[in-house]
Amino acid sequence: MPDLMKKLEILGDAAKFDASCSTSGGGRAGKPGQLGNAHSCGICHTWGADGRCISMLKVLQSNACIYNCEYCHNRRENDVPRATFSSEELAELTIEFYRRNYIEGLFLSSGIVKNPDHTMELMIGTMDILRRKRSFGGYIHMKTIPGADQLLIDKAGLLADRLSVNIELPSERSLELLAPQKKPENILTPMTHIRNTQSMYLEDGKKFSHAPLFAPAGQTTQMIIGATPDSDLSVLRLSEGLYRKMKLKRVYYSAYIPIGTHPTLPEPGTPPPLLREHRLYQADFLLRFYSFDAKEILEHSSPLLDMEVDPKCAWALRHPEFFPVDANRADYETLLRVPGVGTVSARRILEARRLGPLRPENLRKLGIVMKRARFFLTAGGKYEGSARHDHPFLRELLSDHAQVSQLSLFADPAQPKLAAPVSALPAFSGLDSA
Amino acid sequence: MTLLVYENSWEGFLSAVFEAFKRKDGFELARADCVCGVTLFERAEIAAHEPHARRVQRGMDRLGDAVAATAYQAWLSEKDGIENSIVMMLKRGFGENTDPLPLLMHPEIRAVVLASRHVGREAHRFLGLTRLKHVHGDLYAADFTHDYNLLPLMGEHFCARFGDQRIVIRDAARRQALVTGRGAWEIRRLPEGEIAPLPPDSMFEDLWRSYFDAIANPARKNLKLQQKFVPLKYRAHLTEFQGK
Repeated sequence: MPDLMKKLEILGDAAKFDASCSTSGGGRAGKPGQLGNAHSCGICHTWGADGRCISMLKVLQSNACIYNCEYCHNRRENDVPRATFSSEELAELTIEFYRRNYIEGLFLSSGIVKNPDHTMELMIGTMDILRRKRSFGGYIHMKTIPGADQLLIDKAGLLADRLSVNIELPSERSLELLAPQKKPENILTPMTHIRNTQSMYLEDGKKFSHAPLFAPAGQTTQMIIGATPDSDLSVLRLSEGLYRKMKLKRVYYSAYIPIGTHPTLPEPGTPPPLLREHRLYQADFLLRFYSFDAKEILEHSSPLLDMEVDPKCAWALRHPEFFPVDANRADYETLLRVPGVGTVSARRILEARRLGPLRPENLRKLGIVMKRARFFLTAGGKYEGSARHDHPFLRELLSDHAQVSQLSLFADPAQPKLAAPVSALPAFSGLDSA
Repeated sequence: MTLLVYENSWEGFLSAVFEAFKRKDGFELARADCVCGVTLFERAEIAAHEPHARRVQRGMDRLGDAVAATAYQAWLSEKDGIENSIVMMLKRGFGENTDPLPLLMHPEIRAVVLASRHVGREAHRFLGLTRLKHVHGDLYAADFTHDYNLLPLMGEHFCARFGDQRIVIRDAARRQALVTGRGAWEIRRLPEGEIAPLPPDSMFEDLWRSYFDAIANPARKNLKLQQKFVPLKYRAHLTEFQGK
């Protein structure tokens, strides 16, 4: 037990930089009399001291690694305790935690042991024990190792609910500088293969009810924010390309916590850019649920997200000609553009409208944040905003001071050392949505 | 004003709703275990009556797909006055022959819908926050505490997910337990007397606590955010917060 405890501490600690915590998007029906199923909406089991949801046993199979990526805690040259789980002990740990309702399932990543294929085989070994020997029906998210053989990715997809290949950094040039062993083609090729294979199995599933599932919760990726000079516009254009061309379910953004001493990286001890990460997630939601394009959220002339107002409010302030919007006439996409109106409240407006015309006093009860929306919305010919509509006045009212002060507790967010104009740093060829 | 006192069950409540619809004078509904001592109002004990309950259920189903489920979830909140709000909502629905749920501008309907939503969210939250201890063999058990009566909404999940386990989740305050096994689940009364504490399950509890401490990123420490998602009042039965 002391051995297992030590391994769990080392390999859980090593996995904490992976931001993905979601157990939603799939939905795996359990088998009667057997252990495990997965809900399509996901379930959070607890929250760590960093405020992040813990819903899976998130560990590395091994934190031994032959690579030496400059930004990584587990890089080859770092002197950290190393450990490796055997497939049997990791499968047993997962099952026992699951039985006690601690977790929804397993999130499995790894350092590169010997080579990508060998590493994938170790991880597939763990999943094989869970699915085939132990008939485990819970959620499994597996990291795909860049450069691994496609046959191994195929095997993994038939065992896991979700696969992910980390894109790590927002541009090919950054990758070349900080992680030269991770070639862009080794990241994009498996992503493309997963997308195509998933599509093929989905088509089969429509024709044959017993067709096997291939990564039913789709694929995701993660990129590090703040380690390189890539702008928010480059990040968002890359994310947009990943959603549209690679059909990813999620892109995760992880604020860089400086540990490396590479001359281009922020120095160790520099606070992570948490507020910037938060704004990127807000912008990401605009891409996915609010029908925004990346080029609407940011422009080349202003490629960084506003830290004081959220991206949707920033867009509204730049486009006063779009407002006010009539709550009784506007369509769903138009309503989504109003600050204070989200996807749920926009839907409620459309439903309530069928029963009769809406007045301003009805809107608050539908869950609309009238503190913001009243400047951009009318209902029944009434406008509850102020006569003042100038930019500084509205900007002050829409500023998120509490959030900004909380996330800016560490006074100076990490600033990358290299300064470069946006256009000099192409993202990934073939993925840029522009 | 008459106080309609019903036995603490959904069937009992629907029987009281049926009775309320017959009355023209003022009334209030109350669960039998919430009423003690002398009240100022005239009191009428309403026994559970299956045909009356079924009529009310069918009436709700005719109004709309979600009306019965919303009313049930709101009732599970056990909030003061929620029964009266449910009756007022149904009166409006039956009176106008329409699904009352979208009419959120009416305070009683809004109260029912919000209570139902909140109960649903809490039930989902506790699917994740319930920690099972291994007792022996295939038997696992947990203790549960909440202001809302959530166990009836959790039975299906635990029964389906842990198909090869038997589970008992005890709600000591309500003296009831969710019991699952062999593909079925039910709510049972706990026997009278003191409820013995569950035996320790130390090996995997220690491993879980160790993992929980290791996985948090110290550079992003935010205890306020953690408390927002896991309020202090929920931590008594959570393994990872015990001993802290």
